[in-house]
Amino acid sequence: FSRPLSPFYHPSSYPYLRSPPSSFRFYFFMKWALQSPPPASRIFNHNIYILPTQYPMSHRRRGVGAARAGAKAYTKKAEEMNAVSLARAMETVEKLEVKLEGFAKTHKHEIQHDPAFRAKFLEMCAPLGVDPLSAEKGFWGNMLGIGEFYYELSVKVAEVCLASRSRNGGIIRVSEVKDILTQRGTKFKFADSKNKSSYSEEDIVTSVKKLSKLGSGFRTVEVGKSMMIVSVPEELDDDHMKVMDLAEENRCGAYGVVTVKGVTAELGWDHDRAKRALELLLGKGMAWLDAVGAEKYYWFPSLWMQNSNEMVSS
Amino acid sequence: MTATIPDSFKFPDFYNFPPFFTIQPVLATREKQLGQWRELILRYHTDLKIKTLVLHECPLWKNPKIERELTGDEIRLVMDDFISSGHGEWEDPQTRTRCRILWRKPEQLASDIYDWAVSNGYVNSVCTVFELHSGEFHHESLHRYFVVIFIWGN
Repeated sequence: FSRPLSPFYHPSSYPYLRSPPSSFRFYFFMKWALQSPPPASRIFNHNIYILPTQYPMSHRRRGVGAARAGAKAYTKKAEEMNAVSLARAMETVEKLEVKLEGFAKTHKHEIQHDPAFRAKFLEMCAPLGVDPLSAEKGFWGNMLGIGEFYYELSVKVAEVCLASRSRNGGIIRVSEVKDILTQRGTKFKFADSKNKSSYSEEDIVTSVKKLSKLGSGFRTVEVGKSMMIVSVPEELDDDHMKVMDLAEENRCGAYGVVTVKGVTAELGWDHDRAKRALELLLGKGMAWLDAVGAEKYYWFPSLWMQNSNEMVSS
Repeated sequence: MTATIPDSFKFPDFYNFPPFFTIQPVLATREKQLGQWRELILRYHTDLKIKTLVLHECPLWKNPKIERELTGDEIRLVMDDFISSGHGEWEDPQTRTRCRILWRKPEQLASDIYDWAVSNGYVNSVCTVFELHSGEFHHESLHRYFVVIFIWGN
């Protein structure tokens, strides 16, 4: 005979204990086969392989009745082993946290002043679930104070976004935000103000993530190769994003501009769909209309400014 | 014959943005655009100290660098908005070809004069026009042109 495949093939329910099927026992087999699988451990998806040699002789080669009781024993054993692994893992995590705190203390200055170092440090903290950004009174808040830094930065970023909203419809490049802030010469109250606080684009992105927790629709999206901050709660669906990608990548003639013809040619949409997407973007204020004779061009202020500066300086 | 723009005048970024020369169909965007036009016209005339805008001689309506210009109707729209914001006055309301640019609004000017009067003790006393713009304690912003407008508008 060929071994029938169990519908829930989990190693711990591997049929070591099945006896050869017969018509009488087939009924019991079906009952066993249709049982639900053992509970999956939530944190560590260990595959528990229970080798038959771990079990006393009495467990082996029992009748089919033992299959049901056996499944329960396996479940229990699996839970026990999970508990042990979990305890060990928690210990490791605690040790790591202590090490991380020590590291943060010794490198406090670099973390506060060097954006690249700071970014790497946050990367390290993330998988451990440590959030040094929360400006609470805990260890992290008091010691590093970078929660304060991100709080201030996010306020300034929000200011810039709000001020430019009427011009670009609520979507703006991260690099433009950085340029505006550097132009303004913003200083931060955080850390010593004799060294000019430097911040990078990743810092701006992290502070927007903080802002997004407040609701109000602040979020980052990727358009082509650039990262943009959206400050309006309106949804930007896939069609719109594709159109903006086109504009960003200069596939319709110039940076930041798109035509209905261009969209239909590059994306293969029909005329109506392209027109609808562009009209919607126009309505939101993210695109401005440029009518030259009978031709209609749709320009994106958020994608245009940057490149005009580049073109002028080059 | 349009006047040439001197090189010293620094154009704002949006002057090179092609849609700036098409009046936007979306109202919210149009508001922003008309605001930018107001700002541009005012700053151009204030910086270069030009008192009157002659509609068909003004070089602002065309930007040859990006090959865009405003049509006649659009120019009229921009001017109507400019006048209604209080920054200018038609010299010939019937034909509407010449507009006097008010560098500072009459209200602003009035408050300036009042402040000057208060700080120099001229309240409740009579003073000549000359004293206002060139006397001992004259206020910097009060040039002769302003005073003409002020009297005329009063």
